[in-house]
Amino acid sequence: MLIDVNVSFGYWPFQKFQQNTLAKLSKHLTAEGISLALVSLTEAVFYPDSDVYNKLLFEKLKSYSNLMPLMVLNPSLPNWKETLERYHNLQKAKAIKIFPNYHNYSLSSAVIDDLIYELARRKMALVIQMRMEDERNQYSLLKVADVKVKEIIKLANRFSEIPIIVLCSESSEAVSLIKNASNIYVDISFVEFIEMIDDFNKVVFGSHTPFLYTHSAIMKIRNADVPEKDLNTIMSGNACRLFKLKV
Amino acid sequence: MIIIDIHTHFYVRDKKKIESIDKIVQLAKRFGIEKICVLGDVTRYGYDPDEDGIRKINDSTISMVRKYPNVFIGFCFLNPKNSKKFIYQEIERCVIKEGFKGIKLEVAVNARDKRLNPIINKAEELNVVVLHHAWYKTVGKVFNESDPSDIAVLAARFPKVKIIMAHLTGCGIRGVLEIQSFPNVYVDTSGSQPFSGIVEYAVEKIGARRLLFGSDMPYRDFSSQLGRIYGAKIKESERRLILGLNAQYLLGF
Repeated sequence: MLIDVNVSFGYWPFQKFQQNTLAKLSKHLTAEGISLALVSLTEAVFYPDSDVYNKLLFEKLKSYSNLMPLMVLNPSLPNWKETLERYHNLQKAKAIKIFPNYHNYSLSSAVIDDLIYELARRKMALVIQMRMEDERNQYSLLKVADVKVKEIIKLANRFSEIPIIVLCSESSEAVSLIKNASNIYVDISFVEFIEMIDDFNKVVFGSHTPFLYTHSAIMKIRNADVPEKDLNTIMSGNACRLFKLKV
Repeated sequence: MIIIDIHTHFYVRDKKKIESIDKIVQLAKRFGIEKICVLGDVTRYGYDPDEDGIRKINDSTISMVRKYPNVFIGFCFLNPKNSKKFIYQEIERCVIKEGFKGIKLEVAVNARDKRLNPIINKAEELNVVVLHHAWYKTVGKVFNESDPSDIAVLAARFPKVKIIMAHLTGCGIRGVLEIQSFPNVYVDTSGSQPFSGIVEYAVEKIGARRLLFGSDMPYRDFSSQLGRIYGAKIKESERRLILGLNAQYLLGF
């Protein structure tokens, strides 16, 4: 079984996605052998109130058994606590995703402390989207710096009780994140040579579809020089545990 | 189906496991990669390597090609700022004596710079390809680093020379458009993460015959880089061209 924790759906002005309907996305992921995907809406990155698009996503995904919503939360908005409570009750995946760089707040800001407290109370995980694009290739009038490794490690060490899943870290960043905090997990979407990571209990499958070709992540898994037991852990075991998925 | 990797930076003296020469060959075999073009570890001695640095990098490529002549294809790495005498000596040593199939240029000098002239003229005379680094960067651009508009200028000045513009994803949609009208420019698919859509776009705009698979190993892995070719929504015949047939034709074997 293969669970993809890093899938987006929606419009992105700098890329033309093949999977531009949910039906196409669902079919595409199935064809690649992905049984379940946690999906977030790209519109929730830019629209001032992410909840508007999260609601839309939740309704639309009801028709797809292989697509599960992963809500985007902006803790710098005034209503985030009520929103979080609602997501906790609605969502099967017990986590929320944040975009500190796009939503313009620091991981060391007070609002993050509050968020972590509320997540811990509900036994939910925190997903941090480190980047969406290669910073070097961004549109010149929309430069959004990557979330810094140091900031994530600092946060994770301050709140070691909460699992933090970091999406789209590059290989050296992934190694450093895992080495320096016991509660950090990384996805493989930007990682080259998965076998270089020491602890496979800290790795989840994520493809960053449709931004990246899904098949690259599939090939990484197929060709990784990793024992089968560890492969299964990466492919689904860790995701089930972290997101409390019953599959 | 033949698979040729046109863009790698292996260096035999590296201690990393992945770079041991036998392991590279075995790994490539697992992915069905028959031939690997070695461009040299071009930033090993900085962005503006001196003659000694260039010589060491080419020495490494020579040793790889000699050990596995059926797998590795050498590209002679040059810095146009080095003396003309040295440049000609390196071309003589690598291309004429060792049978290297191309010349690699990086970031020491911009592609518009006239100091490239002796090198490009020599490439034309010897009928070898020139693989030139290119990227449209928003951040982190190296001084003198070329972008696709610079490659277009070079291609216009030397229409008989076959130029491979590196890094399709780094060059992006604008990069494809910049070189579209220069039939002597080919593009390799290496660079960055496998962002979707760009292979299909390039096939539509310049045709599959002008695209070449490149991995940028050992900075990237074969899985992620081949995944972008296998994952692209293109015809199987186009995929075969990109994976190896184009390189086979360009390199003349």
